Amino acid sequence: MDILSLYTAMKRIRMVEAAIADNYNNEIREMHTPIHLYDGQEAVAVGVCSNLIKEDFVFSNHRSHGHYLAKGGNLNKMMAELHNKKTGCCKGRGASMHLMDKNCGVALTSSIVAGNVSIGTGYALAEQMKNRNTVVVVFFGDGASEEGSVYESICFAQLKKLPIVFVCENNLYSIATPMDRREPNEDISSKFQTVLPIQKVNGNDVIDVYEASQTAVNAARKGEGPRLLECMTYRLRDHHNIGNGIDGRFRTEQELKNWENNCPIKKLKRKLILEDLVDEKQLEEEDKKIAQEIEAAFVYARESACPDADELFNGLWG
Amino acid sequence: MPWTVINKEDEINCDYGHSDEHIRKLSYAEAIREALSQAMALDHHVFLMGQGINDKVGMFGATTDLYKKFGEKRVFDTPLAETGLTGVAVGAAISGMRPVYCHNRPDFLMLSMDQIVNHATKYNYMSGGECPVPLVIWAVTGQGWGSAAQHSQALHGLFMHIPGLKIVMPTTPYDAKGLMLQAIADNNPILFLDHRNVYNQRGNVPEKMYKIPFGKGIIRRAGKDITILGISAMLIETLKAAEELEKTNISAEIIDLRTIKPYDIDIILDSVKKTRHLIIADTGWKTGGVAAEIATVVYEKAFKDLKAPIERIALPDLPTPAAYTLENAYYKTRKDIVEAANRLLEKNKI
Ligand SMILES: Cc1ncc(C[n+]2csc(CCOP(=O)(O)OP(=O)(O)O)c2C)c(N)n1
Ligand SMILES: [Mg+2]
Repeated sequence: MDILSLYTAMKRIRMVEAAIADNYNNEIREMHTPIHLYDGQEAVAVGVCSNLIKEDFVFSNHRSHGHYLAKGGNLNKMMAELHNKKTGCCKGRGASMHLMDKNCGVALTSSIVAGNVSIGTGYALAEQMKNRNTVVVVFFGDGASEEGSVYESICFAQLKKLPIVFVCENNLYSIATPMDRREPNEDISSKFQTVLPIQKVNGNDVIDVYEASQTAVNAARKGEGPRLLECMTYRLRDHHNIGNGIDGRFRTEQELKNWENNCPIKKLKRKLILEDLVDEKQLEEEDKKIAQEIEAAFVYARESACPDADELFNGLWG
Repeated sequence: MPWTVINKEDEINCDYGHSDEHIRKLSYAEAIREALSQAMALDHHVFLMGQGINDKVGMFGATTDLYKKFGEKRVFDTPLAETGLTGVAVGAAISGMRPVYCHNRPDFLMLSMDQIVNHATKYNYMSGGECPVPLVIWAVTGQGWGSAAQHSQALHGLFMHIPGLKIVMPTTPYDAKGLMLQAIADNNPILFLDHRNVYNQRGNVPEKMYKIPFGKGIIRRAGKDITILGISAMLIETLKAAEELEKTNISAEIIDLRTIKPYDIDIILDSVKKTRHLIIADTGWKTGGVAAEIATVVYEKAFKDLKAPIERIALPDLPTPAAYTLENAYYKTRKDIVEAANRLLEKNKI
């Protein structure tokens, strides 16, 4: 495990989201897409995906930016997709809620909550049938865990000992509805305890996530069957759009502040510096590199062409 | 960001010539909210459920703070579990309650299909009329801003196929209130499908309770050369088209069906008898859609009245694209309606 690269991968996602937020309402308003930013949850995508190889697959949801980037998705193509351009990873057909890139294993993203869970399970079934030795990871939220198909899929995956890791990102909210208004038992993973091995981890600690997912991914790869990780984390922005959600709708400023202090990036930075693993300067250099990469991605997106009307039907049939 | 929040600046007046400054005006969302509130005050069997129902912006403002008035027992948030919770709503309805189950988008109703298609719409008949299901399922169709293929589907055509289901598609605040009250009072499963774009409207809404009967259309604008049927948000486009057509001396009669199952065939036939031309503008897909169904019935009943084939303005057989250039190519607007009208009347001259 290379702690510095875990740090920069998280920081990169945070900076990408910040750049999207900064430009979302600018004069040109070119990003015609609903956005669900990943701020605060970076340790989950990064901790999990750092255990995957290029040939492995992730299945994502509406909050897809972090998963896409952590799995090695192309930033230029992501920005172009958000800008509704034909050079986007979905050629302008999907936008933010449907980022996909087969070349790097972002196999499918669904904005129908939990839609990705059973499909990922089927993908794992196929990989197993083909003796491919690859691993599938499905990311889904605490809200998604309430859909019946999640239970159905997890049971089936265990029945067939599929090479899959179910990663529940428990950020405590489904849009503006907190857990206690939706669930009799807020301990999500415990509900699956009798079905498959579960582990609850601190989703704001990238090392915890990394280690837990390493065990789960290795088990899946060795044919030992699926596991469920519940990563306890928190969304620093509003459910969608660029705000911070402290308009009294669902959380207090104090709640947000507490979680900001518990930010996975801040926490790791403190650790890196305290333990003399890196100095500030080095981190600043890393930030600069990321900023340049982002700048270039925006230029790429802005300079790319929009899909033409006469391409409307392209891609309908396989 | 025009996705979930309704901006005051975007509001349009929709009284279509019946405007009176002294009459109270409400936004579309306020009109629905008033209907829900009055129904709940009148009948303690009525209750509301749905994701984010207690969130101010949950249903675009149409359920804001109702829980404060009626308590969280009668206005409650639901887990993300549409399949099971639709069954829960059906069960409550069968026992005599009158649930209104709301969804942000009809796309999510696809998870409810088993309960809607196999259960809610079957039980009264299957029990020999002993088991009515007074349930309202309400969802708002999305459009634009990169909503894309999974957040913008106008699925009323799919539902129209199912016997035992009534489908309500209001466009104005006045109708939204009257139709919601009728829907709650009805003893059958009702699909109340409105559209993100009709939420921009503001218009006359009387304070008293009133119901608009199902299957009763309304002429939104009288005309003599061509009949144009506008379904849901496409009504707004047809009215704009009518204004444009007027400039070239084409007088269009605009019909709003308000409910598409049952629908008012007589109002269409009467109009077509007079204008002898028909355009049907729908928010859904063309193939096997609502426009196809209505056109067939008009052909069956009034073939001789028509001077030219019926034109359908509807979506191409394609999932909704995200990019705005493709959205523009995909969605139909007043321009398509004006062109169709010109085409029809031109054809007729030759
Ligand atoms: C089947 C379905 N129902 C409802 C929605 C509307 N919706 C979109 S995201 C969301 C909340 C999802 O919460 P969670 O799974 O916890 O993910 P998070 O947004 O917290 O990352 C909801 C209700 C949807 N997209 N799909
Ligand atoms: Mg959540």
